[in-house]
Amino acid sequence: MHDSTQRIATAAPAVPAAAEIVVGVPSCNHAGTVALVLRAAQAGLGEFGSGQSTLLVSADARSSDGTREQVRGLRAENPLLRELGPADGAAVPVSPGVEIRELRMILELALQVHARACLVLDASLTSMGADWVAQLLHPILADQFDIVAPCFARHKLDGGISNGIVYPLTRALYGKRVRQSLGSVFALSGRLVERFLAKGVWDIEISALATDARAMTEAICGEYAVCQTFLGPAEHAASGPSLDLSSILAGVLGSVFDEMNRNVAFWQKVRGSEPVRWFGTPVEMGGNPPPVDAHKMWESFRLGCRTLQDVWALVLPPATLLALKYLARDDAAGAGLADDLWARIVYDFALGYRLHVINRGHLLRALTPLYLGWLASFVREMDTAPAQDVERRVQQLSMVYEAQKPYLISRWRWPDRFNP
Amino acid sequence: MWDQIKDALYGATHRVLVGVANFLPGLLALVLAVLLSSLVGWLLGALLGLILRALDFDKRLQKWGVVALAEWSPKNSPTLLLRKTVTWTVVVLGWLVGLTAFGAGVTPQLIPHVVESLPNLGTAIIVVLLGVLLARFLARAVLISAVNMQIQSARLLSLAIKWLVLVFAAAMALDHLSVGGDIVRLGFAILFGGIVLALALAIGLGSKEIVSRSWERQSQSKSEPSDDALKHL
Repeated sequence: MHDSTQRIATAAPAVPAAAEIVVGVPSCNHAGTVALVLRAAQAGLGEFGSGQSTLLVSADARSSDGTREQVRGLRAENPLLRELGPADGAAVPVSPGVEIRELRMILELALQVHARACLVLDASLTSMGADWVAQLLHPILADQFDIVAPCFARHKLDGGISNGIVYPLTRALYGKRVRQSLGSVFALSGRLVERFLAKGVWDIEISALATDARAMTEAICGEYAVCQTFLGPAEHAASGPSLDLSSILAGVLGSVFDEMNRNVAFWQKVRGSEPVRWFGTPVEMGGNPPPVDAHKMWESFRLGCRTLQDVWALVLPPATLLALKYLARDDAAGAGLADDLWARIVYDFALGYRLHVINRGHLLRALTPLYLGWLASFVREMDTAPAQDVERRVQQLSMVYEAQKPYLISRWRWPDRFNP
Repeated sequence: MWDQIKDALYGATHRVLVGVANFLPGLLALVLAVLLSSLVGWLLGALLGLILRALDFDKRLQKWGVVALAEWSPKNSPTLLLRKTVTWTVVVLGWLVGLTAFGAGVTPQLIPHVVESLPNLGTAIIVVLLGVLLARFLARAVLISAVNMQIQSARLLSLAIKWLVLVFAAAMALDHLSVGGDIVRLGFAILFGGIVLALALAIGLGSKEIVSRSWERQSQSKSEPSDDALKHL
């Protein structure tokens, strides 16, 4: 076991020798929401976990906004709530970063108490329902699954990064149709927790936005049983200055591309994809979706085409650059980024990331105008379509990613020779 | 008369032959030194290349995140860059040794002078190289950020940053070499001050419109749709 267990200061009461379920909430400056999440988790455990030994844990990364005080205040309501965190005065390791370190502590505790299931929740949630606990834990305890990914309800055009890049890419790479894998909510079986810790999965730096993407990838590559469950909408409160789009893209894609680099031997063998079992029923998103200005996004794409050609030329082959130039012309108004072109662009950026052709931060941020170009095309096409059609369109895009996978493999294996 | 001409011709021929005889060994030594240094340089370069290739130096550098060196290397290979640097350093040293052996009037004073100024020259080259790397890095960072912020004059901004850093590095290097003296310092101060003044004027004169446009955008953003309304994750 990792040495961080020695650093963990568990506030009274003492940790029991065994617990069937561990629910952990890693936090860092989430004073406004941590109590909401812990209360919902506590209520959920009350309903679902009755008759089973459970452990509710808050792991705080030395927040400076009173998060710890909020948690301590809750201990009056729930004396069984435990706190994890670096002991006062203990040195806090720099890597991995905040929250990932706390996540690792929760997993170590789950291993220590021989938990059958460990649920990790996002401390920034403001919309968590008590029923989420049962929905996420039931497939593990009753159906022997190893990891449960949530699929949150959302407006039809929301989740562009997930719909346009992460879902189709991970589906084509790893061959499992896990619809939504971005965020910090997931449930793991005891044996998967053990595997994660033995393999040091959380010792490697990762964006906090992509923790469950890593968990899911590791589980798929280790051939563990994966499933997904429908949940209600996930609303988040900002715990700091909000990230701009290019930072979000860089954080998420950096982690996804890192996973790609770490699992080359696995994904190069995978062909096609297979569905993953669903639990629960889809939740309809109430209210009207917010209006979206596709024209503004398309103009960002055109600006990128005019000014970032030199940067893109380091990653994209000439045929792709030519197609982009054509799209950015004034008389090409109304045209959109074709699915195969978009899939190849994402694959080329993944390859550029692997080859370090330029600084990785620059490379990932340079994708932003292209992403906005794809999103504008998607929004124009789907603006008036019903939600089911949007989902069908995402599945269609994913099929194109799968069809273009030989292109990725060829470029990955022979980056210098295969350059169409 | 004829005897005098003959003596003069003999004397001149003798002097030429003596001059050539004095000159040839030096030239031979120079040629030998250059050839030998080229051979040694090539051998050392090849040896270094073999060692670095065996160590997978290029890929290791990539893993360590030293991308800039690769970008600046011929054929994107830092191994090739180091190999060529070693080869050419040995060749240049061979030239200097050859020139000393040649005995040209200026070389005896030239060599100590060159040796003395080598550390300064090396530092100046490093300053310029770092300046170029930094300029390229910052120019690209500014270009990408400006495009993502939808600033239309992103390329201009990026170019301005690039040249500012390059000029700054060049001024530092020249100052270090004591070339140009106060002129370089003064020139740089005028140029830098001019750029800052121009920017201040441009911002000052243009800010009225920018502020009003910003207010307009803020008031419109409540009613107008925007891509920010989307949740990207």
